[in-house]
Amino acid sequence: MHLPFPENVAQRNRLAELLVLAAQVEHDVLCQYLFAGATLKQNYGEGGVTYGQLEQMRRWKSTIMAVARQEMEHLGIVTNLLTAIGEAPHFDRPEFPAPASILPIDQESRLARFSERTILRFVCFEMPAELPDQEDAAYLRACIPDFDPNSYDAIYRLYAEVKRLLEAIEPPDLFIGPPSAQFVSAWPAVAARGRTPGKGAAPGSIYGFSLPEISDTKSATQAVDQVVEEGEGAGEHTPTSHFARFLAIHRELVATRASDPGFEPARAVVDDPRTSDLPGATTITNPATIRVSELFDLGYAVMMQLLIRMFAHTDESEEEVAVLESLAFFPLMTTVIRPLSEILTQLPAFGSNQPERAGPSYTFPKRIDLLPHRKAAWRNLGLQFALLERRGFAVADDLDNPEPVRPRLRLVAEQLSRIRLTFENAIGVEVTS
Amino acid sequence: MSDADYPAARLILQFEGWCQIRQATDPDPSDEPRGSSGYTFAFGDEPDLDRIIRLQPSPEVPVRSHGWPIGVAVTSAVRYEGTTRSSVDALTGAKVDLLGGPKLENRNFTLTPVGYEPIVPFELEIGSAALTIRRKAPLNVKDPTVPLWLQPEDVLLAQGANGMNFEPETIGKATGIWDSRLVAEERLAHLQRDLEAARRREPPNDPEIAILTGRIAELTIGIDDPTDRRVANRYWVERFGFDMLGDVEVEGDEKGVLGGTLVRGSDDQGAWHVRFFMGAWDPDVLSAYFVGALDAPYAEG
Repeated sequence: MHLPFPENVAQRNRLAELLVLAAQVEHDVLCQYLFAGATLKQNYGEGGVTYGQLEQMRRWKSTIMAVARQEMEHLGIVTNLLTAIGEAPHFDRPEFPAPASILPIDQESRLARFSERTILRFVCFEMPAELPDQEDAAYLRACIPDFDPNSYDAIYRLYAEVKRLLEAIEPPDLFIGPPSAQFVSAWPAVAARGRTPGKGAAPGSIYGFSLPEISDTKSATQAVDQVVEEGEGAGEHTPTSHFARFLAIHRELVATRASDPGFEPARAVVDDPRTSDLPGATTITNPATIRVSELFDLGYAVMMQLLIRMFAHTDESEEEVAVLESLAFFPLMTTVIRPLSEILTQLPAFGSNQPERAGPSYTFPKRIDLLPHRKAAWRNLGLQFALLERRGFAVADDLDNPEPVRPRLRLVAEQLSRIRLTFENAIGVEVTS
Repeated sequence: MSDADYPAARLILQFEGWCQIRQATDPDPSDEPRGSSGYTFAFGDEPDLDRIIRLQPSPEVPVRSHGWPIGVAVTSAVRYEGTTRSSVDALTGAKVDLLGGPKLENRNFTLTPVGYEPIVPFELEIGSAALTIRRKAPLNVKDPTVPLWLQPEDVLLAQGANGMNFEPETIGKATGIWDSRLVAEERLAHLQRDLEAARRREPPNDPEIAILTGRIAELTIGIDDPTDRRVANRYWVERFGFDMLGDVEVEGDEKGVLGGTLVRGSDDQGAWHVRFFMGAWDPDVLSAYFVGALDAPYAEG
């Protein structure tokens, strides 16, 4: 039974509001997951770990990275839902740290190193409405005083309301966005270069990253189901759900710590590191680390600008949208954001001889609104890429950075240089000489 | 080059064998040192992943147990002079190597699409007790000062692979491996026995146990999911073929072994042609099969 006018418009507005919140939540939690994963030690020489524990931590990190990648997929699905109903994509989010009241996740949002407390918070983010496994319930009751899963299932409830609204609103009043404003996974980086991936290659899911096209009530509700099943589980014990994976890590971590009190899996990374003051956050003071952190923040902001442009392009051609896709995903996420986040957890937050390490701040140093005019937007992006390249080489050449991280900083600079070149070739304009 | 221009005297060396490539895999960054998002890893006390293609075993890096013997060698060395064909015994069995730390340079799709990446640097060495020949194939002969990351895409593609193709028959004929899943299952059984034995030993060798535990965990993922890249990627082939126009070095009795002198020019007439494929990628032991041939013109007498 669909809603008549004007209730359908009111409910439509409510749906858009919830999807914006969902985008903020997915973005918010994925940054926290990536941050915790980047703090895990990787070498015996870092101390506090045995070889056996390192192997366990390797698998924990793989799991955290896989979950974070799926949260990126969820952000993409929510963004596709927004553009499918004719709304703007939303990539802004509150600064870290944010109190529990800011987002409907009933937990504070903060960038914290890998620990029992951090992982338990992630378990709570992904809490289903009911716990099908009584052992899980008993375990959580032992970990959390006065535990009640319904105190933590806000994300689950958020998506449940989204699904109810999608089913209630008449499709002609709802799915009014252009299909071209959705990103559907199918070999973007290869397709962008006009080549096929070769005989026998299967298109579709990329490294478990699957973004379906949304065109009607059925495809929209299926997409919401995908988000919920991958996150909280499908109403029964789902070992691959984020909830189950984080809970398993927590159990293993507690057991390992119990058998070895000296076990310390994370680097001494400070909470909520930033280069500028914010209540509750930690201000980094090491000058060389600040420069790396600022490079990270600019790269992160430019990546967001690319994503906004990709989902909310104006009169770009298909080829131009493909260029945006090809630069946002692998190059910026994989070869700039990821390595810089890991490098930052190895750099001093304060004095060079002090033990505290920095970390990625996930701060926007510039506004990331949609730029409405295509030519100006692309020119603006070109200038940002040129600035990133310049700062990348400045950081790579900075001898104040510890020698072990310099090769990785050098590669980041070379990648930024390549990205700038690829972008300039695509738009046919040399931004800088 | 027309048939009429084709040199009458040619040396053709065929080679094959297993090589080692300790590289991170997408979606890990190409310089990821230990592996976390992809399906290749450095375990225990193994050195960091370095992406280097090693055609010969290196004392610097371990070869994982129950894998393939690392070493690419000349399987056939033949001299053609007009209609005359003669074997060059002094080069049969010669070691084939790539010098200078060669890497598959794709860099997470920033340089080329996947399957089209060049090997950089490409410095081929073929050496026996009697003769060693080396030749470089610089990416950009016209302007060697351009750094790799600023090379035009057509330059990279000219020396890059020609896509990735699913070719179980090619792999089977070259390596004798017709059932990669069975190879993985047999390997897993070996590793499980090794792990049990390692756990019984006193004092325990922690790094060894960690390596075995990690390999078992990853092989199990591949065996449990037939679409997973840990097993599925073993049937893929990447083919390369390009002219080598760089510097030539020869050590040993060139005229005695070859009955002539290798042509060394940096133009069409002096180009050497190399064709090869890499395939049968075994991510558990970080190895691939390397098969190809070098076709080098030379001047008689």
